[in-house]
Amino acid sequence: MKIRSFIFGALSMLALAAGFTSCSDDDNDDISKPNVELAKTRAFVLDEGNKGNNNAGITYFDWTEDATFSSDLFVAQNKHQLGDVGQDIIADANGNIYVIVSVSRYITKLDKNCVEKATLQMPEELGDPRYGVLDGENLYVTCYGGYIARINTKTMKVTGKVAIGQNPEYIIKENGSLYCTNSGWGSDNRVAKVEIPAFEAVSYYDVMYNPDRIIAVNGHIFVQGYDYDYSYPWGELKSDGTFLNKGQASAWAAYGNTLYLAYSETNWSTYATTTKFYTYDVENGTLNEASPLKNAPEELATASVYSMNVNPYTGDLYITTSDFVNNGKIYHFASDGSFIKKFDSTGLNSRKILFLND
Amino acid sequence: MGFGKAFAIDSKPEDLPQMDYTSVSRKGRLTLSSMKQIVFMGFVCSMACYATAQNSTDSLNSDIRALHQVVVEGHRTPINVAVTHPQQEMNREQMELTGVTSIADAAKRFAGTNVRDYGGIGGMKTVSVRNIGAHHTAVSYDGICMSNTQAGQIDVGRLSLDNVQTLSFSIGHHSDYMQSARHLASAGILSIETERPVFKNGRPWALRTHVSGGSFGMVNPSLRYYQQVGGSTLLSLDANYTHADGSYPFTLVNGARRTREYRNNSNINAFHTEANIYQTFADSSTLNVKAYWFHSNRGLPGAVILYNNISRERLHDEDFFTQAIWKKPLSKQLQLHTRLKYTHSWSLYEDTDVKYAGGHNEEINRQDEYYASATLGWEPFSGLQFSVAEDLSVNTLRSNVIQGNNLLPLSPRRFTSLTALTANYSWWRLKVYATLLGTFATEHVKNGTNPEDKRRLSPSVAVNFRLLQNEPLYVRVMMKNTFRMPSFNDLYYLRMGNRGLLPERANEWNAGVTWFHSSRGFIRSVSLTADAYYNNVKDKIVAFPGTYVWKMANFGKVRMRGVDITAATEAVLFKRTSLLIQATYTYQKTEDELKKSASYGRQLPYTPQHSGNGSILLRMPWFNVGYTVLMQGERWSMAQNTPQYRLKPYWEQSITLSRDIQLNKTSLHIQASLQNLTDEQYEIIRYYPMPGRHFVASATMTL
Repeated sequence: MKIRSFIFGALSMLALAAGFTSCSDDDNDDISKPNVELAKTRAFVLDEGNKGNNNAGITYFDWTEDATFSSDLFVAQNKHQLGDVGQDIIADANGNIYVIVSVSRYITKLDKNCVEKATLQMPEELGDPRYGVLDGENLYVTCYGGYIARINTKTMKVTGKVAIGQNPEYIIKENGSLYCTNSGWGSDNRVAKVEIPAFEAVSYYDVMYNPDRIIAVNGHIFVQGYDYDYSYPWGELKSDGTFLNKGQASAWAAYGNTLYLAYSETNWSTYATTTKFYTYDVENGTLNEASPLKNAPEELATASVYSMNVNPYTGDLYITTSDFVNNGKIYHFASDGSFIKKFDSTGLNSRKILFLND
Repeated sequence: MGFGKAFAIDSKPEDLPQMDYTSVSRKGRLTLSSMKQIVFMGFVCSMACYATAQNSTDSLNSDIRALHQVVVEGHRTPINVAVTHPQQEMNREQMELTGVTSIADAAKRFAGTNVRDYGGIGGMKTVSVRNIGAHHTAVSYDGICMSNTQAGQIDVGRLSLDNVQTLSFSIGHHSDYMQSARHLASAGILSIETERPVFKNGRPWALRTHVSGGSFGMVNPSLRYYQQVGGSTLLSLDANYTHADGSYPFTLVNGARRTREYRNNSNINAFHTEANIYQTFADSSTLNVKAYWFHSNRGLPGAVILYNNISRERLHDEDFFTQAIWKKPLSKQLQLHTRLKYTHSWSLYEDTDVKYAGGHNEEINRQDEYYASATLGWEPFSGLQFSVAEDLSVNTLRSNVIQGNNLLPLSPRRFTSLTALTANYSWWRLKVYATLLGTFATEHVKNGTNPEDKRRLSPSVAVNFRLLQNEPLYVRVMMKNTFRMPSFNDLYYLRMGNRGLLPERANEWNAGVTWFHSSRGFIRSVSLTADAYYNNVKDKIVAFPGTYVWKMANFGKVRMRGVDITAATEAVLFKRTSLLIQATYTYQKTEDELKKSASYGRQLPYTPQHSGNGSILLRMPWFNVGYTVLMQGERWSMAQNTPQYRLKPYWEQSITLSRDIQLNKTSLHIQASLQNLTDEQYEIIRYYPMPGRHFVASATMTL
């Protein structure tokens, strides 16, 4: 009996040790066999869905062919749904993917095939998670309770938090600091800055009413928001802390020195939406009102642009649109602006596209 | 609802609206003043009259002589058969014996209704007529329409079933020419008539106590007291309380996962009381005065959110109204009905979540309504009636969320005038009912621009023709044009409101055939109605998506085509054992027909093509058995008619056993009901699961 117990104990220790060993390696090695085989050149579209319908999802396509998988990839790989309101999707250097599902109030860690490895339910005191940015093995996530939470991506545990203001939205990392927009739904209206090493000092910059997006391009920081009348102003947050208004935009994406912008405006008398595309040269600080798109399908000029995305491996531009009823459309343009293809998303309100190539 | 029924004079006067009471002799023989009158009034079959010699003198009302028990057996033509507008009703007994638990539950059993039920006792429940929209349905409570100018629709989940005598549902409106203008202004009307005092055993008072309890921590005691004061005044007092923890289990399907969950934050405490005075004057004019108060405190569980079951939203609400209806015959040809009502509603919505500044959010709304109405009716000769009705109302709202973009309060105030002309003509086998309604509404806000005034004329006409002299077989057609005003929320809700909104317009066309047959054989009665209809709604008020921002808009044009069928039969199996069977079926195609709409040509969300219900009621000397079934076919939760948004068909079945026991002068009614007996897991609104199998038992004692 004792010998049997000894052997059992020894085997258990061995198994435990093996487990620790595997955990200590890069997560990259821990890849499950997926139900759906994906191409090396793969893209994941985070479909936000609409609140209360648990219809967030992931559209998959091979970016060399623009061929989508026929249904929600997350469900196909994991046999359960992603949840309610897909807010952000981010990949680390090892190919792990982090999806922030805001109203379901959790973050899921996926392998490169979109197979779920771990989840983190956000503590109630932090509130709904919104957007994230990676720095090393830490994921920094804005939370509606007024915090940036630091999450260790290996353990998927919250390791710290800093209070920064009300209802923070987008977050970026720039020059060793985190910047996020504090919307406060119109009552905060600042950009908060947190230095990463200390993760406590906070400084603020006044911007427009109800700020939303923030992006860094070649050392320049740009902020976009709603304003009182939903006129979607955007501008540059200068290094001296002043904010310089540049124009109107409801979506954007950056590649190289160029900021691509779209401004979708709804006429509340005719209920018609019109969209204008233009660019901004970050280096020269010049706006180019001409559309960068060539041979764009006509309907794009009257569609609501939901997101703009650039494939970092090719410089190609992908524009998603939404009519808020049907699944989204994705328009693919080459880096020179020429139209390549239009295809359907498998979900509603396509918020962001993540491109991988390994 | 549609049953031909035996009636007893000692039950209550409303059951015999067309009978000349003075023609009933004290010795119990029914002397029919005019056979033609009886036929005209819709009584069919032979009327076997007999009396039982008892000494009790049941007083019905002070202006009606006390009658010894005179029981008249016969069948009146069901209301749904003989009227110009499709109309169905359920009385208290039918609701009780078939285990109906709420007004919304009863409304689901009418053909042509679409009830949006968010589940549980505290969940919101609204009733729509043939899917035109709940904003187009008026809810009348003892003769005066209720209002909620802020939301534009009535949550019937707040109304108690405890003291309801009759619930009726009319498409278009009732066929009574003495209605208020408001009764004529909607696409359909759900009418709630509460019980009136009934005295037995020679007492000038009566007392009824009731308690029910059941699954999910539900308990519902109620008390009703009636008092006769002098010879012409009756008083009634009602009070009931409802408590439920509402934590019912349901099966959550998440991909391949099926988990058993519990509804969270769905408890409710509600208290309702009302007092009534029924006064009859010497000139036979009547005055009914009511005071009503309702208070509730409930959790709002919201949609089931995957991976996050935290819900802390709560709603406290309070409704108070007092109303008076005075009915005065001015001469043989003229009569006047006047109505006054004051309503005060208060609600506090609160949510606790760190996303709010201070971790807490409160929305407080206070509404007031001042309402006056008069209808003057003229009957120049028998069969021809005219009326003119004028309704005036002032509605105000104070709210901390009805604000302009500058966050200044708007405090909207609306003045509405409704004027209705009605003509009702009956000749030979023909009945014609026509109305013309004029609406004027003007609005004022405290800060900012006032919306434009609204003016509109809305006609309606309905015709009913009896095809056979000796058989109640009718054809009927109806056309009605209505519109609904934008609600205060539509116009002013923070950021979403749109002051440029136009009224939403609706048209209804209906053509139907109805038939009723009765006999003295095994099958006592059969009734059938079939109505085909076409409706459309233009300038539909919807939340319209811009880019990241939604705003209310007149964007939409929908049409509904369908058929409503009702059938009912009554059979006498043995002496004192009868069987009542009824069924309804609705086929409906509701489509978005605006070509530039993103959902053009598709079935509207939450509108099944096939729906129906049925009930079987077996009455026996020992106990009664009621069985009901409700079904809805597939429908979609979104305008995308794709498998992802498909809601599966459901059949919900219930069985109810009940028994009446007489103990000296005390009546006892006991009842047990197993609701959703197959534990069907279904949703009416996506991610708002309905309760599975549950149990309700009740006891009612009447002195």
